[in-house]
Amino acid sequence: MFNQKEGVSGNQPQTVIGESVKVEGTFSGAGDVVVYGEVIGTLHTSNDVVVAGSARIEADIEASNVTVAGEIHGNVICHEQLQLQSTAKIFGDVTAQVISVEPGAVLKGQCSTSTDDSAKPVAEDASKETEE
Amino acid sequence: MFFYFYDSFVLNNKNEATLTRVESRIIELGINGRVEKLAPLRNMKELLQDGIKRGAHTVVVVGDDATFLRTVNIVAGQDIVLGYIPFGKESALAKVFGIPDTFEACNILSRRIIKELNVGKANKNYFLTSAKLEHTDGLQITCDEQFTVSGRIQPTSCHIHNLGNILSSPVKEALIDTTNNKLVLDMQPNTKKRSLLGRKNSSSSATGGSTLLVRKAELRHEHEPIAVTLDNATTIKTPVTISVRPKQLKVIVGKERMMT
Repeated sequence: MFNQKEGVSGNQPQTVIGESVKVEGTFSGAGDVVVYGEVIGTLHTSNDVVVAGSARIEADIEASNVTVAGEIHGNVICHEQLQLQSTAKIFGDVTAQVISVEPGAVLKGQCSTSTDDSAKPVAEDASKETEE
Repeated sequence: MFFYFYDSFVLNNKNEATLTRVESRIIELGINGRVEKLAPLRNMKELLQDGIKRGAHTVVVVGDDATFLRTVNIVAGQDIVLGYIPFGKESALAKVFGIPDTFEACNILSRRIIKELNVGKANKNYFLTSAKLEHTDGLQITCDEQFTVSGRIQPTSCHIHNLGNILSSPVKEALIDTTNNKLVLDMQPNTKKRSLLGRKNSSSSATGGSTLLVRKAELRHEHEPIAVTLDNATTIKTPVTISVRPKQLKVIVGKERMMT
């Protein structure tokens, strides 16, 4: 399912953290991120994050869409959708517009969803109309 | 002014006919200039720098990929345009630059389509394709001064690509992205498994490899220096700081080039 060559959005992932690798620190990118290995610190991207079953993350994550099949110790902020697969384990707070949870997923922390679009960047034209 | 730099093997007897044809075509096109030939007792760096000092604005490398890449290390960052006339075995760089053969390279020089390429800088050296480490035992890689990358299983090989792994792997048909101003940190576990028949297969887990885009990578070893090979040509030792230098190399390319 987690094909190394494709991200959740179907786009070519720009970053792949394999099983054999550990990343520590503040990781910030603009493309999709697929994690099979270990991440400690902070993981931030303006696109999507996929956490594979073999992944172990001790970090806060912020992304557009996040799909989780592995283990996360940290908070997760999704600006769009959070998907928890059956093997997912999250120990931390999660925030997303839409949350989907498969049977078997573990979530220990606060969970909040919001239909408020204030977290999204507002289109320039719309903001101008409001001001007028 | 054009400055033609010949590698020594180009002057072998078997290349004589091709070289004569190339030189005639260069004269026909009106792009002839000064010629220097590399010989055993002549230093390549001195020859090139002397030619540049004498006013060369275009340096044309007549040789193979190794010759071209050694030239990159010397001229990158200067206001010089590089041209390439490939000789010898099939050239991966010629394919990327859209140069189909030795003779057509002369016509491409004449058309003078110039592409500005990023180069990687490793301490005081420049590289065009990639930097390679055979292993990462005890190695710490700090990326963009923000996070560190280390191998969880050993051995793991590490490449830092600028243009890509074009020297070791066949050039694929996909275009090379030269616009993202980032290097690709590629780490692969060197796992070898034996099949049931006892034959060795080199394979890595489909999920073992890693690919990260970085602007800067600092390589340090806890105890002893590790060799870092640039473009399969130059070897330096850690500690090494590798960074991308955008648009530091101007190259004359063909229409069929394989880059964005």
